[in-house]
Amino acid sequence: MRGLILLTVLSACSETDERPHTLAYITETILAPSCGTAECHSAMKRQNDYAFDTVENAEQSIRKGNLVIQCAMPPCQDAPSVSSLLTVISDKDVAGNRMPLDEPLANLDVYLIGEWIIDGSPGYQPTPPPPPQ
Amino acid sequence: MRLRWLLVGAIAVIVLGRSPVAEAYPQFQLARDQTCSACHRSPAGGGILSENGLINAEAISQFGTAPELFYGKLPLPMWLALAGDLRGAAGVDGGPDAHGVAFPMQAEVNAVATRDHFSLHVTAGLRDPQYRNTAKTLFATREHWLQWQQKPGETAGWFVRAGRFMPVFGLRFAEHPNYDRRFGGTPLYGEAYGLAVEYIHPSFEVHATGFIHDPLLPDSIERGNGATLYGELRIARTTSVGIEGKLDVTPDDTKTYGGVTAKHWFATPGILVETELEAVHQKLADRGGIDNQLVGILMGSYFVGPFMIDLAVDAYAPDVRVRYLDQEAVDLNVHWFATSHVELLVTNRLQMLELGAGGLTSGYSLLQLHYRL
Repeated sequence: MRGLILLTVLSACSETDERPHTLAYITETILAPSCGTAECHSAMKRQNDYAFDTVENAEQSIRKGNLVIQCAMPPCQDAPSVSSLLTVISDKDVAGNRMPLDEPLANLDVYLIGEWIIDGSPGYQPTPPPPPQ
Repeated sequence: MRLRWLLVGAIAVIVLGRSPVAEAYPQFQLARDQTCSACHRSPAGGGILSENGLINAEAISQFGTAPELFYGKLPLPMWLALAGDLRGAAGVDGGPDAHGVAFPMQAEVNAVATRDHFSLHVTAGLRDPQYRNTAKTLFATREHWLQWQQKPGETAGWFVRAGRFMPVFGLRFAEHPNYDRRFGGTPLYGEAYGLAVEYIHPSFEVHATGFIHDPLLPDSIERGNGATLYGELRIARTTSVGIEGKLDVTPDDTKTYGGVTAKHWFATPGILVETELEAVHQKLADRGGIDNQLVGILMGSYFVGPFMIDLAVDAYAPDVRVRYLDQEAVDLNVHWFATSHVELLVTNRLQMLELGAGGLTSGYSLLQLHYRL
């Protein structure tokens, strides 16, 4: 619910933001520089076993933690409010901390991730592709 | 069970999460000497101090003491130099959910073995271990390179280095949270394997480095291959200007960095002003999009007795096409060089998002103790 409220508020105040709604873009421009730092969710540290410093690592972490919920037919309007990735960056994680710990994300970045989830989280596959024959 | 592990993880982040490796202070350049190599054995600065560096360490400190390794009680052969750093901090850290924190920062030893024109440099010790994989990842050699020096024992001339080190680029502050490091191409643990050709002269220096990401460590922070170039011209004894460029190609994106640096030393009242401005062009693989970023820092450092007081403003625009993504920070760091080996400092930061548009704030205030072996 808090995610929905946040998205509603942000949609009213955001300006034109034509950044791509893709896992690759979100990872490389938001998650990697803000979350995937050396001492946190890098492949080197893997804090809580999550890494967000590459697209591949981000996809694996989202998959492993079931951090993003998809729906059968986008737009997935309800998905942001039940996706823990959005919850931890806009509210709190189970330990009561808003991520990233050292500095919260900009509102527009939170909004972009919410929009990406509504769009069906393009670029993210909840099940890994079969290994090549 | 999951909740318990998440709580343990969160505490671990709080306790161990900020584990920077601090190195040299570029504030000393121009304020104390013309080049980094005047006080360090590496042409890029950092690591083991030269004889002149040891003299400066003693001179600036409040209570002096012999600046050599273990106060000169451990004699070493002429060809070998050893040093090390122990560092830890405690204070308050965080965004909307600020916490009390205490954590180790650095426990490393440095060694330089020299023979004629060649020297082997190694920095090894504890690193921030991987989550639930501490035993295998706690120890590492962050830097190791073979160096050829045109004029052994001197601070100028040609240097060639091959091995693992941080490619020379920009001002290279010790404080890795500074935006020019975090977002500007020299992040914490950003060392890579490289070949550097460097020329140092009292009035200018040039560093050209080609690098590849660590082929042995799949979890290395530097994921790309590329090159850096940094040139600095000291147009007066108290003023320098520099240009910088970096290309970094990873499987996910290509980043091109370009920027300028400048320093000026005001001998009276003893303030060094330095700045670094960078433009970063990021192009994602597979036509995934582009963005252009701006990164900058302006710092003034006041030297008074055994104190160095830094006041800095950082700014970062992650995508210049989009308003309200900007980040700003103000740093106030007070260093007290108590003895030749002991430094006590208070570091404070206030970070702001979307300045003037109601974004959240965060920051930290930490007391840090540094002991140089």
